[in-house]
Amino acid sequence: MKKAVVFDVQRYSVHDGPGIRTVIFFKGCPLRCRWCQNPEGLQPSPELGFLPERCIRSGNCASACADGAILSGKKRIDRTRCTLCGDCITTCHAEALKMIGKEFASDELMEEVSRDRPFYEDSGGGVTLSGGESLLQIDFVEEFCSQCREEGLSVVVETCGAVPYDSFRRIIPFVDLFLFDVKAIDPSLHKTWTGSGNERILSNLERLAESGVPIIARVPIVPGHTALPSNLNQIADRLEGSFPEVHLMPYHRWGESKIDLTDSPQPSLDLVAPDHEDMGAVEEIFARRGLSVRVGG
Amino acid sequence: MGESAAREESHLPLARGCTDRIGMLRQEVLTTPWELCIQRARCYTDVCKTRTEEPIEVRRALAFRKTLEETPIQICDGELLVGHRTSKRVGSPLFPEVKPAWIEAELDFFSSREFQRFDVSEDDKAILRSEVLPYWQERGARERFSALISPDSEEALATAVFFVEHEFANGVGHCVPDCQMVVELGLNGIQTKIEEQLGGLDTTTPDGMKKSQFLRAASIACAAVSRFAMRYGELAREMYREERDARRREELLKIAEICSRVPGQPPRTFWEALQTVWFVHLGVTLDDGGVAQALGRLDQILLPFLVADLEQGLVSRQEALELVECLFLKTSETVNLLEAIATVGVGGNTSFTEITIGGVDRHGQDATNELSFLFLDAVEEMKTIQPNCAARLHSKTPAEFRRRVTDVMAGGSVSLQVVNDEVIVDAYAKKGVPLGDARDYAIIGCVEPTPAGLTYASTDAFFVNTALCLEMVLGGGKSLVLGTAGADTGNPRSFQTFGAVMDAYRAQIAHFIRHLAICFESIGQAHAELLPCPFQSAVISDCVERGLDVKQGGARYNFTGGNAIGTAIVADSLMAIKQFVFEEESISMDEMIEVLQNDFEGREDIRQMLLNRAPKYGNDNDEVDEIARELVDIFATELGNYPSPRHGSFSTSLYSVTAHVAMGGMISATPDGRKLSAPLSVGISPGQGRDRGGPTLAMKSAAKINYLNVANGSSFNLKFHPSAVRGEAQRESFSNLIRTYFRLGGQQLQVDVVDADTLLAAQEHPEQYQDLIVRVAGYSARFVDLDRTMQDEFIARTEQARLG
Repeated sequence: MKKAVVFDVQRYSVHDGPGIRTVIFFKGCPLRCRWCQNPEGLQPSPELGFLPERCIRSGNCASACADGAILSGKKRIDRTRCTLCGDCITTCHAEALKMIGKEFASDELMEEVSRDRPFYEDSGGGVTLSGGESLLQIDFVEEFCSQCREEGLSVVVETCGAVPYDSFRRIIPFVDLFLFDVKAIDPSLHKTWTGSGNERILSNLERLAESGVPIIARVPIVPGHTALPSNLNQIADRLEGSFPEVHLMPYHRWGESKIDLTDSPQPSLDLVAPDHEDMGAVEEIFARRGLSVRVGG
Repeated sequence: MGESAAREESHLPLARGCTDRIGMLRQEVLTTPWELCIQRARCYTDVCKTRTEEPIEVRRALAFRKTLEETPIQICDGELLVGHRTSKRVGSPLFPEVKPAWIEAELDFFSSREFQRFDVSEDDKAILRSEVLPYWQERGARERFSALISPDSEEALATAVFFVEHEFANGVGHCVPDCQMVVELGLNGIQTKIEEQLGGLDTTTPDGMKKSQFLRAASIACAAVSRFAMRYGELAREMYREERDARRREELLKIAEICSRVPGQPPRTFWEALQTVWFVHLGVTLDDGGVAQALGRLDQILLPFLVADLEQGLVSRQEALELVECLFLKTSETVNLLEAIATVGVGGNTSFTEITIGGVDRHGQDATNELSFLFLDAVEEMKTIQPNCAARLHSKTPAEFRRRVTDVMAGGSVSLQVVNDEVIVDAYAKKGVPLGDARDYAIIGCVEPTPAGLTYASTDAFFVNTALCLEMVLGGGKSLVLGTAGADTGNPRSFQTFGAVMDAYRAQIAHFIRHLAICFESIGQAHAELLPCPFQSAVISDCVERGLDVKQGGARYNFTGGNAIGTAIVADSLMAIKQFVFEEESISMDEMIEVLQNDFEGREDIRQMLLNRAPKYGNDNDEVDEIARELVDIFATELGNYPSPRHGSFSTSLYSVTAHVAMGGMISATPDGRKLSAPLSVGISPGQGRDRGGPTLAMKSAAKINYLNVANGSSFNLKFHPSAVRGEAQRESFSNLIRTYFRLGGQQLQVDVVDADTLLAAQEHPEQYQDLIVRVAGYSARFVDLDRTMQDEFIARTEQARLG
């Protein structure tokens, strides 16, 4: 039985595809976008997380740890010693220590998402795969998506696109909608901002469109980065004609709140989020090409 | 009311979209200082002192008439609907005959107390002290109850496990008059009916004689209200003569015409019908001073008038909306002076006046109409706490209406709630109410449904602290904090099974509900003997036909409703006992009791275990949800063992207004990890912050309660960050969320779209706000887990989102 590493299952999500959806956050991502809003989802394997605000200083974790990996202070965990055995978590009733990433079998995940089935039925919602990048765990994802199709659950996949096209090909029959990130057209800018080139991403986008599966392009609007007018114009030019629907996703700083949760190498961007006016100007760039635009999903 | 509406009016956003007139009236009503008016108290005292030869019904009718004849009246600038309950613009009368003791004790503090300040002049205070209060000192209904109550019930009452003072808060309140009957017959028509009844009576019998006294009183009261309206007609005519502004002259003339006609004669227009409803409300609220005298299904009652007026071009939709908004502002003028203890946390809401819209008709067909939409416009534009508005939804509610209701809720109108027709109608059918009457229910007060116009409902009569009952189980028959005694349920340390804990809990509930029922026999008697309500009885069916006052059982249906407080906390506590003491044996009963007695002092790790390691109600966990369901059933079953006053039945509800705070304040720490004195859970909502899975799972838990046993209503609250309900697609999802909740069997819902203040509170008390829903596409987090800086930014953006 294939298992997935998932770091959150978030119900009543209303910006990630139509209707009321349950978003499954898969762990692991091929990109390292500077503005990442879920930095705890970058590493593919489970990590020990620490929420200092919750700690009641019971000392139970230090007593439970056989490897001497519990430090005092805000970081708390000596990751060079920690073996991820989870013994400290068992004793931390305050839930200050928690495992970021839990293994799920397809059936287990199906049970989780099925609890909201009545809400999907009335709202036209369903399941959304997010992350991280769910398609890095394609064997599991294929099995799970096919199971969703059998169960009559709608599936939306949010993707950064930086995976072999074969991963898309395997799940197309089970997916109702792809929310496909487009961050930059210029390969060098893309590499600067995300740590990776975009040739495969853009080619995947074209090929996916040829398959006929519904796609909405999602463009993060990050000041001083993707929000550069030249970049946005290039993106809009590329989308015009083939991708009529675009979601513009304004940068926000809330992901930075989670940087210390794990030992993420992600530095804080610390930008000012675009305001209503800024977004209006961005919207105009896409709208004047006849694209249907929505801000925030 | 929306329980979340417990905030001061001054915090309310400005009205948007309304006319200048309404904007001005709203500003005046919301900023006018509240004043005490002693007119009613003087009139009642004078008549009761001097007309002792009359039976009590007639004496009170004469006092009622004197009040309506002698209270100075005014028509304020710009008003289209007229009529004040007192001589003041925003004022409260006094009801010394109900419970005089507190008035004397608090008189000097009315203008300086913490909540709900009322100005009162020194002269008025002197009159109250010399003329009024001494007379009532030993004649109040509350004093009668004290004299009637048996010693052992008095002892049970003193434990504060149950609270029965609400029927003495100026009166019983909590009814819906039969405005349908009034608009059809006019009060003159009702008087004719009374005369016919009188004519057919056999007054040679004691019963016939008694009935004739009631009918005479009801007739005097009806005539008094008709005459009261005519005083306004005369005043309007005088003002018309003085007025120079042509437009206002026209309005005053219209007012004069309307008030010389209604409510004596049946209304002919929408304006007249609204004015009729308002005069009836004033009459009812001067007869009985209890809060939450509801207005009923106004979209049903008033529709024919609106349709006819629109057809004849007498009124435009915009003018009709303005009239409805005038009514809304009128309800904001009627405030109630309450005992200081009853004002804590109630905020700006003091009359709990409710309007009901939408739903099915008596035949089960959808009855949503254009007036239902018009009322929603008024709710949205006024953003006042008064009146509360309940939208009835059912499986065939037009999608457009449901969406409009949920949009107004999502827009932050805290005074709007939704209730589920199917569930409520079934609950009344189970109580033996015929389907037609059950379908014609209206909401009273906070959330309480009741067959409209036919019921003496008293929906807010008692509160039972179920968490204190559990505390008494753990204290072996005594509370852990106060040491007061309940039923002797034995030493809990010797309990061998979880079933023994449940049995002991049931025994405590049974013990206190028995005493509660005994208390109500006396309370009912005190009301029947001392506080008949001749006008209210004239406008509630079938009092005239039966020749009986509402207080003596004249209404078609009689209920006495009250609340189980703390259901979620008790369910979570029992679940923790079951798991940790009996299944895992990770803590002994002895140790559990000890840590609770010490309020977890030095044992925070155990508290965190209790909080986080056992399932909590509100997360769709069958095991603990089943306990919650059983708690409600136990409560309802025990109440069902006793008749209520007026040959009625007791009725269960699950809302708490602010009682969860007061009742939590007096009890020990609980096995769910709640600390000493912390609030109990709100209504049937999960414990504060315990529903971590979001609204869908919380709703699934709440839908498992057997609402067939909860005819008196429940409140279920959800908090949303504006990010979750802004945007067209998000609004549609929000609407569908509610649709699904009702399809699953939920009874009621109100939402709080949080403001920055709430988020600041969440920063300070993250434990209570674990449930706060923040939603941004593709983003995983809970507000309480964000770090401080990010929370601050979120708070800053929240206000933009709310206003944007």
